[in-house]
Amino acid sequence: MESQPNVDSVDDAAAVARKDFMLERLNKRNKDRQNYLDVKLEQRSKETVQNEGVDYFATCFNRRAYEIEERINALDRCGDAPLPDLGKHFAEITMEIQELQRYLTTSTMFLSDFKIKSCQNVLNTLSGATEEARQRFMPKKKFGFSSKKTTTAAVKQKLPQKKLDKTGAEQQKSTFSWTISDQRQQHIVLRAAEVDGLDITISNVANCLVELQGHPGSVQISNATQCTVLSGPVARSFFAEHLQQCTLAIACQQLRLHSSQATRIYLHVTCRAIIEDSQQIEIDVYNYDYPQLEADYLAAGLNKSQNNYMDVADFNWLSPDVHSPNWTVLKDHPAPNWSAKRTQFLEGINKADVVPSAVAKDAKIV
Amino acid sequence: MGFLTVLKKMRQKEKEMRILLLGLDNAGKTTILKRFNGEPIDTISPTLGFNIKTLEHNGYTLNMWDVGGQKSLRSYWRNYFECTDGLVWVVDSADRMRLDTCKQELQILLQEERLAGATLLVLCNKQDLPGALNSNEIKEILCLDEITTHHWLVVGVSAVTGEKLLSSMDWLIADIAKRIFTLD
Repeated sequence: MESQPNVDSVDDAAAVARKDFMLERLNKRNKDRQNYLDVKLEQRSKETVQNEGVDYFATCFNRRAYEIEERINALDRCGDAPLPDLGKHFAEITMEIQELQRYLTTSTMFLSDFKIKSCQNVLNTLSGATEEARQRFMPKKKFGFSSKKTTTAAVKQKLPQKKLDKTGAEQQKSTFSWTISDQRQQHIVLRAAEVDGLDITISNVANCLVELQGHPGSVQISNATQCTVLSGPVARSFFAEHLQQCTLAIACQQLRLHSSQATRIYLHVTCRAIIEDSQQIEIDVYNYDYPQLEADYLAAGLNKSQNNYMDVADFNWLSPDVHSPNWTVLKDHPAPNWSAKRTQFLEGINKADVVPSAVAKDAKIV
Repeated sequence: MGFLTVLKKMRQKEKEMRILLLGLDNAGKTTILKRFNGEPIDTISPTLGFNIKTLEHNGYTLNMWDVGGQKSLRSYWRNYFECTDGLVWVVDSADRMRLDTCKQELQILLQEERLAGATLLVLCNKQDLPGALNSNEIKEILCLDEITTHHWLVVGVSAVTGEKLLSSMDWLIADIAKRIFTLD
């Protein structure tokens, strides 16, 4: 009998727990129901907003269409009175029509097909009327598209310069030839007249020192071994492929380096440098110097204060967190003295020259 | 008002075209796209990946896809072939060094089944440069006359001056429009 109250209390506890559980379920159910109702209510109110949107759109569209029509008709009413600025007037009307078109396009989401079609018809009539009025009032300017005008102007400005460039270039390049190709152990210096604004192409060079003292339009190098290439500011891209153990000093808008190994670049790049399939590339800041460097920066249109040489994109390494193993920025490295290197190089050539030239002479005799 | 007119009208509701810009790196694809869209072109850097622009032109919605042309990205080009209405192949007219590569890459594209219906527009870019080849020379080098599988046109343009850019795009759009909005 002693155990009786115990059983009761256990039963009580179970009942309480069941009751709690039931209450909880009821509450939950109630909450769910209320949420559902809320969602429904929200949807309904949204729909009414949309309906209002349709009405609002209709009044707004009609009002703006009417205004444009008024402006077109205003010209007719002027009669013989002088019309101040027709071009501007028509430009404004066209702009307004375009704006209205944009309004219609963005509103198509909630408009019925019929409404879209009728509004589009209104717009078409308006632009037709504008065109017709334009032809009547300013017949000469039939084809005066503003965008084309600017391009022809730009072309015209460029023409004189282009012609000058072409006279020199056309004779050379009627059949394609590299600016520099197949050279061994040479010191090649191209001055402003041979470089400025032109595309410099270099191929198959080894143990050479190439200097471009001017502002080329672009530079392309293919197959170079143990060469030093020093260039003034390049207006557009510097493209190089298959370089082995080379040293470059270049300022350019973009640098594209492909399939190259063990190459050091003293770089000034205003946009971005990219490398692809290249290894052991070392980057440092540009320091080539010659008398007209400042002027060439201006002529090439490069910003001297903007240098993104630290930001090289490697197409074979797209992880943003880990630095590419293919290129490094040189640190604590003395900037090279190019005139000293030049002297050193020339001495090297003279020494080496003795033997090959003798061999060449022998070969000729044979 | 024949059956064809009805069909045409139905299709014209969704005047949307998908245009793919491809070509070797440094050809000027991004510059052309930006120029066409009226954006500044002086801060363009080599494309890592791709750019998409949606723009309205002549009443059509153009989805322009500009995919990077680096050698390592070319294998991804095929991911963009599906549903392409127009292919714009951009050539650097001054880059004589790589015209052979350019020709090979184009020929691979032309054999692609998913591009079979697309209109081809070859833009010989950089005509403002003194050393640029003209569009006739490029046509010869790329052997464009041998193409019988696609509607094509070759035009010399300059993205920098905007020369002929608009008119060639108009041709492309008109050609696509003729095809997909009448024959379908």
